[in-house]
Amino acid sequence: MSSATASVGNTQNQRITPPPAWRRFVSRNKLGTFGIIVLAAILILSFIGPFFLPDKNPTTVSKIYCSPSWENPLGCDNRGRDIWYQIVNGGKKLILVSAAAALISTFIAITLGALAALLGGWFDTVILICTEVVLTVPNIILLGVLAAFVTLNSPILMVMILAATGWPTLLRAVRAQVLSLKEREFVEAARMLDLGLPRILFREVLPNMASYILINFVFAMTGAIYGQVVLYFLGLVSLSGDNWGLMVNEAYRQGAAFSPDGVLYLISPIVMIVLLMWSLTLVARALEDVFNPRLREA
Amino acid sequence: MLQDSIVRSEANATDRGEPIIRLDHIRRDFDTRGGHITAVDDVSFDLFPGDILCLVGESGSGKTTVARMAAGMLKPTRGHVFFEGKDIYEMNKEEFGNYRRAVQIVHQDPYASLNPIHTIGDMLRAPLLKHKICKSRAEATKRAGELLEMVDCRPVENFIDKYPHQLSGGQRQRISIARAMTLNPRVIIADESVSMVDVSIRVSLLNTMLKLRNELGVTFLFITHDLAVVKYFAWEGNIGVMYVGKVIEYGRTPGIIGRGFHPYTRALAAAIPEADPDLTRSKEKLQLRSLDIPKLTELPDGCVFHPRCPYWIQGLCDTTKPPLMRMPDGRLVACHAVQQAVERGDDPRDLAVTDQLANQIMRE
Amino acid sequence: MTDQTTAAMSRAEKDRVRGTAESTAPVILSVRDVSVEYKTQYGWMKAVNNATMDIRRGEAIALIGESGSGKSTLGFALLRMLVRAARVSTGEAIFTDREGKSYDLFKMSDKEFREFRWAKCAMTFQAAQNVLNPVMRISNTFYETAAAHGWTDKNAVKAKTLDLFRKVQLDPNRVFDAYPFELSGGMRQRVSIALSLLLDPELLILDEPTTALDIITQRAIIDVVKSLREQLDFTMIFVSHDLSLAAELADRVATMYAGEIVEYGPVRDVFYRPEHPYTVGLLNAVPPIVGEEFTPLVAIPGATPNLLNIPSGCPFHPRCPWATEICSTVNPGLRDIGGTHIVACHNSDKVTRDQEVWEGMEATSAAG
Repeated sequence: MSSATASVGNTQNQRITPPPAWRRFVSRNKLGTFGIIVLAAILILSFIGPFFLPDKNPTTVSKIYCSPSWENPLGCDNRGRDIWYQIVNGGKKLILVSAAAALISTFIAITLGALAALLGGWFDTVILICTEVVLTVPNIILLGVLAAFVTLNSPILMVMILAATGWPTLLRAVRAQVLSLKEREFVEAARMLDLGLPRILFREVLPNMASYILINFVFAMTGAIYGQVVLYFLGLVSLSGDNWGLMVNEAYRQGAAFSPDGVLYLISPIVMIVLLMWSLTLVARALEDVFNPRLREA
Repeated sequence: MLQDSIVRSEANATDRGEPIIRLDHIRRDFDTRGGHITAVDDVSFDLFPGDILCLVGESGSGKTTVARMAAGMLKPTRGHVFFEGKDIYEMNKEEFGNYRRAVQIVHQDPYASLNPIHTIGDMLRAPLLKHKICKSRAEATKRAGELLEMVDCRPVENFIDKYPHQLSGGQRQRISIARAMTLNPRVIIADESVSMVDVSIRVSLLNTMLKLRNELGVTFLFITHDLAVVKYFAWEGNIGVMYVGKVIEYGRTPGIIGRGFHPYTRALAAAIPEADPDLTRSKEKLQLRSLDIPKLTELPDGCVFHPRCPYWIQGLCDTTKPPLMRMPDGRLVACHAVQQAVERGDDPRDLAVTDQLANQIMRE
Repeated sequence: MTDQTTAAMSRAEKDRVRGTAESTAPVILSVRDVSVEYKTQYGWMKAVNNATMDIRRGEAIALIGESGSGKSTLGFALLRMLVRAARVSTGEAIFTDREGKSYDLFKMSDKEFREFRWAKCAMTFQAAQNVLNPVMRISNTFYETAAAHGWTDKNAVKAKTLDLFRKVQLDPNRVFDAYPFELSGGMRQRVSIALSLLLDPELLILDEPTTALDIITQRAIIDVVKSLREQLDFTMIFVSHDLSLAAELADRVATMYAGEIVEYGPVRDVFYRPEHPYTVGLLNAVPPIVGEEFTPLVAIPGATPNLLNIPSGCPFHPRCPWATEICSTVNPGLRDIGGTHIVACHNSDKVTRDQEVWEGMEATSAAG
């Protein structure tokens, strides 16, 4: 008696073709896909939407705190202005300023963080001390103090202030990442091949952190949005015009929170801000997959 | 000093001109959480053009540390590393650049040693263009193809535009070798380069490296814990057996593998199972007094192997470090018992286990 | 049934290598058409394909294969220790204990299986340090394991543990109250072997018991396992990529390739009269260490297949020097070739150890 039975020749060795990349992305990242859709909607609304609006949002006394209607989808504010008009107009500047601030702080963090890790020595020490100093001062207070001394009337100044407070966390993260990548065998191989510091930094090390950097860029952006909203809300910025942060401030100061008619005035910008931050976070998480080379196969 | 004679006499005996790499009494200390350790202590050897030298040892033997010092990736605490007769730490920038490019490492882990974001073509072209070996991208691509053929990655089109994750472990290791070959190096340091590759692939990888040596004259410093790999790869070369930071036996491969003199070498050869049921079950075993490799933080006095050695001589091995001594057949062995046997005119493998030791049970 | 090859052997040889002749002991574990699949982003990936084998009481079985051969997956599947993303898709495994009671491994409830595992059938893992809780004394690990199976008499557990420690050549007093980090890798491996034997299991599965250990430590583990098998009554399955470990310890060897068992037979038959080209290729690639002669080695051309893309017919045919037309279309399946030696190859009668057969192939496709 044989101790095993012969198995029948099987036919289950068919080739499996992977589904297209975007399908895999969607099936693996349902929340991320949702985030992308929401973000895209917000961006379209804020950057393309204003072209479809009339030039002016007139103050209409008869419409103070009017309920939503076909003409005023979100009702009107305390001065009878259309809230929908303000929502559509109020995102652009907020998003641009945040993106610019995040871009600058990410750039500072990557350059200084990577160099500190690769060069080490006194340079590393100085950078680390600077980082610690900035980190110990709470951002909001720093922003407040800065805003008190500087008249924040230009978006560029705003970008600068936000960028100045945004870089330390990311710098420390980048530095730690580079330190660990530096020990990796492929980086050692590049050193053995004498490929030079720029190539090692920009072609070997940093691209491997692309997802990490992008994710942190998005988080830096949410940080900048948060910072802006706080500045507006506290009334530390003397900017005028339509802006979600400013809307929250106005609505709060006008007591919209206590008036049942004014709820939409307060809630609408808050919902927009929350949606924007949330979708950014979801996108950041999903991006990790995009940067995973295994997904680029197809 | 007796030790001074080792390397020199080796060089004189063979008269092969100047060594490419000479390690001269190198030592490397580390401060670890467990305390101060000497990972490598007083290791010397010469690497001549076309040589194959295998450093064999178990974990903690210091073989990889030696390799990294030879590659210039780690500075010795004491001693010198010479490249073509010049101390690498006294070189000017240009000389050091030449050394750097002439000595390449092939790492152990084929998954960590290739950057996942570059294609194979990018990896091979970068050094060719950077060091002006090729003038244009097209020329570099052509050369990359030649390198891939050299490491038996055929057809080239199946490799050049691939990313590392699309290749198998063995294929990646070939890419690592091809990349190391881009700068026409004179020495390749292979650090456990085949230990993570499947058995069926291992031999062809070793054959590829042997081809580089035989056809292009590349010199190999091969680091491994696997005696079987050593026997195949370094048959025409030398073996240095390392134990907790020291070379304890050094010589031509056939003699060391087949007839090791040092008790540790013999213990290793006896301990390895063979892929042959009758042979392996009847293999002569060597009983050690202890299974434990001593901690590097608290190395024993005298011979570092004496607490495990079945042939140790009380009053000698536990007090005096045995120097590497030349045996009649030309090999070097650091063992008092072997030395005494040779002086008596006995077979150095014919050492007597004292009764008292024989009764000791192997125990930790 | 007589096996002429074993009949020609001297009595002494038989004694030296157990399991060459047919064992008449009852079957302890019967594995039938077991397939295991992993869920991947590309769909279900077959890691073990229709594994079928009988394991007789008292034998030592080696599952040998390279990475991706499914050897560990099969071992884990038998003890229902697969990761969440894996499932046994077909087949059954029947365990029959000393009293003749049968257990269907894949049909038992989780509760039944928890009682069964460790008491009847235990496993030792490759990374022993991960099994031993780092913040728990060795003694507590043993007490807790015993208590989990209803054995609460601490003195009895201690006595049993100390006895096992002596059997695996550990210093009982030093190890019993130690923490795992105080022990070397080889000692931890022996502790975990002792732990797996705590409840006198009838079947012990060892996953890569010597991998990642130093040579001399490996030898100690091998010797310990050998002496345990002489002293205690258990059946053993061990999974390894190392052929020489099988040569040392096994009574029977199963070679696995791309998820399939391609050859299964007594250890001396498999090593001295291999019938599957893959087994031959593996043996050709493993050099003997003793002796002062140089042995030329031949590699198997190509690479182990991606399990998502297993070649049609016989999975080994693209790398096989004996492959014929039928091999690329029909999977041979395991068949009897006399005695207790079975093989999955259409051309097993042509297979030889001749190395020249492979050399012609290597020139055409060496990249592995």
